[in-house]
Amino acid sequence: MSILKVVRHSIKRGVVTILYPRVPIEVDEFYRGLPKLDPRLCIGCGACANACPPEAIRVEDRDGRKVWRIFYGRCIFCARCQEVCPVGAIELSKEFEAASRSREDLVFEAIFEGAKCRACGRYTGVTRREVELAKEILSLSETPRELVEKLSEYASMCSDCKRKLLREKLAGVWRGGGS
Amino acid sequence: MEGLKEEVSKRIFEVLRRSLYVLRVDSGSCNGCEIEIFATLVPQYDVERFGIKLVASPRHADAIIVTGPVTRQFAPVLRRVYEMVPEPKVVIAVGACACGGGIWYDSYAVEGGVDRVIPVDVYVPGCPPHPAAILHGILVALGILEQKIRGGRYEEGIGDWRKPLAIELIESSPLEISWELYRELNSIARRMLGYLYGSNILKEYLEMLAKCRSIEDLRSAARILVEKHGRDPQVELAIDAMNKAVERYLAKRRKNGE
Repeated sequence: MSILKVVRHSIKRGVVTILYPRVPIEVDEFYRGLPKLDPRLCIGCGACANACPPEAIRVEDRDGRKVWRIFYGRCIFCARCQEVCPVGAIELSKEFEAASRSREDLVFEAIFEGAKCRACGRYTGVTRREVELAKEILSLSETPRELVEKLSEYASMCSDCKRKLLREKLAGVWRGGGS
Repeated sequence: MEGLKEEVSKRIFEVLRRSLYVLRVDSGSCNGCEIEIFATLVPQYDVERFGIKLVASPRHADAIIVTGPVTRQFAPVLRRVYEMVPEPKVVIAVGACACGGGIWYDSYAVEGGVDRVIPVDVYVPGCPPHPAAILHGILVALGILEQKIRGGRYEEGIGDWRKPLAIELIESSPLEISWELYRELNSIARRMLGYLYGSNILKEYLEMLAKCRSIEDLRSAARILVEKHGRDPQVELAIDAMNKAVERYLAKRRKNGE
C-alpha cells in the first residue's frame, strides 16, 4: 500500500524539478555568493586581508603600489571582508556559478597607487586613496580647524619624516627654553 | 529544457556511448560538500535527468568529484584512485578545500588542494557550493555550458576614486552631522542589528537623516522607517537609540555654541 501513497503524493505535488541551466535560479535574500570588489570605492587599506580566515584576499606591496588580490577558489564566503570594509567596497553578490577550468580565472587583481611623502618623496606605505579618505574624515570630524590642517599635512608624510619633524620641534622647544 | 537534456545526453553518448558515471571521493572534507553533492541528486535539482549517475567504484567511473583539502594520509590513495579511473577521465574539485585548501591551506596535515596531487579539469568554489553550482560545474566539465567567471584586473587611474556613500550623505546633511556621530550610529546599528542587517538599516537611516532639517522632521521620518520594516521591535529599538544619539549630539553642539 505504501507505494500507492508515494504515487498519490507525487501526483499531488506535481513536478518539483527546477529547470536550472535553462532557467536562472533564485537564491535567498541573504545568500552569500561571490564577493565582488568595487575597485572605484576601494582604498586598498587591507582590512579585508587581515580579516580573511583562509587568506583568499591578500594585499601586498609591489614597488610602492598596493596589489589587492582575491582567489575565489579558497574563499569560504564568510562575509567578514564585507563586515570590516570601512568604505563598503566589497560586497557578497548573489552569484554562485563560479565553476572554472583554470585557476587564473578565479583570481581578481586590483592595483592601487601608493602615496608619496610630501617631504622626502619616497613611498609612505599607504595608498593615495587612504590619505584622501583620512583628509575627508578629518574635515568632517569635530576636531578644531587649525589642528585639522596640521593633521592633514602629517597625513601625507612618511613616518621617518614625521619623526624627524617631531625631533626638530622638540629641539626647538629645548633651545627656546620651553616656549 | 528538453533541448538541453538531449544535447547533454547526445554529447555524453558521443564520447562514452553510455551514461556518465561519476565517482565521489572524500579526501578529508567536513561532509558539507557531500551533502550538497547529494542535494544535486534530489528531485529538485535532479542531476540524473542528464544521465549523470553516482557509482561506488573508480573502475566504473568516467569522472571523479573530489572534495576536501587532501589530507597527507589520503594523498597516495587519491593518486591511486585517479590511476584506476579508465581514460577518458575528468576531475572536478568541489568546494573551497578542494580548490585551494580552504581554511586549511597552510596546515601541515594537508596537501592544500586537489591540484597539488592530481590534475584538475574544473574547479567549483564555494563553502559549500550551491547544488546548482555543482550541476553547472559538471556541465562545464563536459563542455556543454560555458564558464561564467573570468579573471579580472583593475589599475587605478587618476581621479577615479569615488567617495563612500556615508561621507556624501554626511556632507549633504542640513543638520551638519559630524563623523563622530556617524561612528556612534554605526556602532549602535551593528551592535543591535548585526553587521549586515544593521548596515542596511544604517544606510536607510542616513539617507533619511540627510533630508531632515530638524529633530521633529527626524522623529516623524523615523516613524515611517519603522513602519516600513513591519514594526520589527529590534529595528524600532535601534532606530530609537539612533534618534537619541542624534538628539544628544545636537544638544551638545547647541551648548558648545552658546
